[in-house]
Amino acid sequence: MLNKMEKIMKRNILLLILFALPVFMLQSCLKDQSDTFNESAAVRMQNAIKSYRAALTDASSGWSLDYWPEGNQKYGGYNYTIKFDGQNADVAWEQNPTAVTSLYDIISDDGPVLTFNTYNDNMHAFSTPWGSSGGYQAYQGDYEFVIMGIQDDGSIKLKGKKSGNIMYLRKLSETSDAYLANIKKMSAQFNAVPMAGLKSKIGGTDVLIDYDLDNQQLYFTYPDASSNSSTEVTASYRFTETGLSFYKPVTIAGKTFQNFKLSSTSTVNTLTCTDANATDVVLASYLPDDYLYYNDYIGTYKLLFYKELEKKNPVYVTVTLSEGEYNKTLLLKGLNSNITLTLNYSVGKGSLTLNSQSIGKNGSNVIWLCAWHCGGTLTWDTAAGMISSWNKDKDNFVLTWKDNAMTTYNIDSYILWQLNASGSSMGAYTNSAWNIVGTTETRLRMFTSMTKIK
Amino acid sequence: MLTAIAFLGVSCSSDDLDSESIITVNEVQKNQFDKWLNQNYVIPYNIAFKYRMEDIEADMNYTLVPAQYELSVAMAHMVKYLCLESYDEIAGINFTRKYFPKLIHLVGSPEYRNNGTVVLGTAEGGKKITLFNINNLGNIITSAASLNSQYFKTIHHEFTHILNQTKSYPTEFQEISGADYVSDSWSTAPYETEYAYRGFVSDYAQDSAGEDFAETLSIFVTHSATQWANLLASAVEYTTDSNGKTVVSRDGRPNIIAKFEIVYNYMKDSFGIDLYKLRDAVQRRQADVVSGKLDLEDVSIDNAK
Repeated sequence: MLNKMEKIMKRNILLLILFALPVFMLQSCLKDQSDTFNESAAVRMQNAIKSYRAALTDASSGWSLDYWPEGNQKYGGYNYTIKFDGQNADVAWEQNPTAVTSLYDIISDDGPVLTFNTYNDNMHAFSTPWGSSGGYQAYQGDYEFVIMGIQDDGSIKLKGKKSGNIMYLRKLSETSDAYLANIKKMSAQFNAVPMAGLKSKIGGTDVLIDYDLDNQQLYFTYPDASSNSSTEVTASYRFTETGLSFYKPVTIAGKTFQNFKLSSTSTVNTLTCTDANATDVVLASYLPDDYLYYNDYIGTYKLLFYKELEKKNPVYVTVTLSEGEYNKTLLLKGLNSNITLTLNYSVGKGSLTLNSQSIGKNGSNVIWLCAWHCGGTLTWDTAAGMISSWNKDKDNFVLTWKDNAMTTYNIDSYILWQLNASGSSMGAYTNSAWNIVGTTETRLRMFTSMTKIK
Repeated sequence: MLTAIAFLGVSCSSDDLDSESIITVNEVQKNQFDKWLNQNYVIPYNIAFKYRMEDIEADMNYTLVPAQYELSVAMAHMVKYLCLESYDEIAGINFTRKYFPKLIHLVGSPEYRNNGTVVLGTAEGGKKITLFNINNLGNIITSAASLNSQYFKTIHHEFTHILNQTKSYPTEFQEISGADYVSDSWSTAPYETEYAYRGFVSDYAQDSAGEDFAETLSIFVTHSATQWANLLASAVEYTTDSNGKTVVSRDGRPNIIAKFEIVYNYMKDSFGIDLYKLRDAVQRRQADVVSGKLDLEDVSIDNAK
């Protein structure tokens, strides 16, 4: 029944359209056809290009460009400066403030497109591919930008043709050198402070912020009241002359924030929001209360391990920790005159790790300190090893060691092992000249603690 | 009824043609190099030499960057001197005008593919040659072998394809190595190393008869007589038999020579080009380039022309 009704209705509608059609068509003859614009599309495009060209060259100190490669901004943002004349563009950026000159043009493509169409070391830093495996797409940076228009504040809005990212050219009121030096100062200042992370209370919500300095990302995590779980938001940032700024605003607990002023002490970075209605948003870096600075570790220690799995027959060896690569590695000496071990220092955690590592050669074989679960598995996986924790007592300074949880082996000991040139196991390395002080073997069973003696 | 409606649809007003063309030329200020290109490429050959990267001229699926200005100038000089004028010298400028691709596009980076291969040059429909990796030119400019393998062998190779599209080569050519073509496997073992024993001048020549033809021609003209003789000598494989005697186990020479003869006659009969003379001209000019005789920076214009 319904079907039949529908059919009748459809037919009626069809008929109505058919009869109405001539009426619509006749109308077109009655009216003058006037163009919406006075000029053709091509002429308007040429005029737009002309006016953009004039705008670009009309900046005595040039422009700054906030540059965001890759469609998800996963490498963070960088600051460029560009000065245009009729033909050339002088391009510098925060990693290389020395300008490089190349040609540019404004072409009509997807609208007017600003293109840097001869090679420029600085401009093409994020778009130059370097190989077939990892680098064939480079960092997916742009060198062709669709010009979206000139803003009220005189800035020019651009859209990266490859990434789709929105970026802005802003007139510089100072020299490129001064601008980039200010940027560099902020990034150096921020990156020099050791941080386990940042914390904030935003609109009454406790927010934890993890970070990636290399790729300039902040990861906000906060409890989600409704679902009893937590929400994560990623913000890609670039440095500014006074702090840092996100690619797009982040909203948490009703507060929306994007731009921050940075102030730093030697131990704390504080980011204070400068956006209207969010100036009470403050992100402050923190360190764990058992945090130790790199230099705190340097000194002489009594190192404790055992001759037996059951922690019987303790062995105490006097060892030293000395400087390796600042803020990255420390050298442990004293186990045997042939043996120097490299410990990795984590700036974020303030802790040390002792992982599997090659420590010497025996003919063509390589001698390894292998992480070992005493009486069980040993491994030359360089992620395997143990991590230190501090007893928070400056006067009775003790580091205790446990498995670093990077593998499933539950490492508690170390053993010297040999690998051949192609990386295959050649068995335990036994050589009395390499025996650990206080023992007759090349093993550290039940590696337990290091007590600082001076 | 539908017909009636259709008639009604005919427009009753007439539009005048707009006096302004919708095709407008970008008002790029011409620099000295642009003027030089006009005088050395456009006027004599009607060839557009595009050194400013245009994404629409490139394959958008790859990540590419523009060529550096100074290196583009050097490349323009070299393409003219090594390729265009070599053909002018042997076949006359009208030959070059008629057949040489009308668009040369420079790209600064190589075209990296994610399967581990790199594209050095492409030709499309006889109209356009794209040369990649121009930004590496400074590193290899004193080595004829590198210049050839990176750029000029590619140009001769692609140009050969264009000539083949104009006049096809004799079918006897593909019968010589008929069963030995391996298509995409040319870059894998054992083909990547044993091409000469198998009767080919290069690994890529094993792809197909068309590529073989272009490789044979382009490698011949970019190799000196001695290098060509060495290439032929390397096509003989020796092994030791059970009596300890050295014997020839494979010999690729007859096939290479037979194919070269067809290539030679094709160029001679179809276009009046003696490949030996072309080779000598290319070799002489190549020596001028690597010895620094050719000025690769001068973009001044002879106004008397």
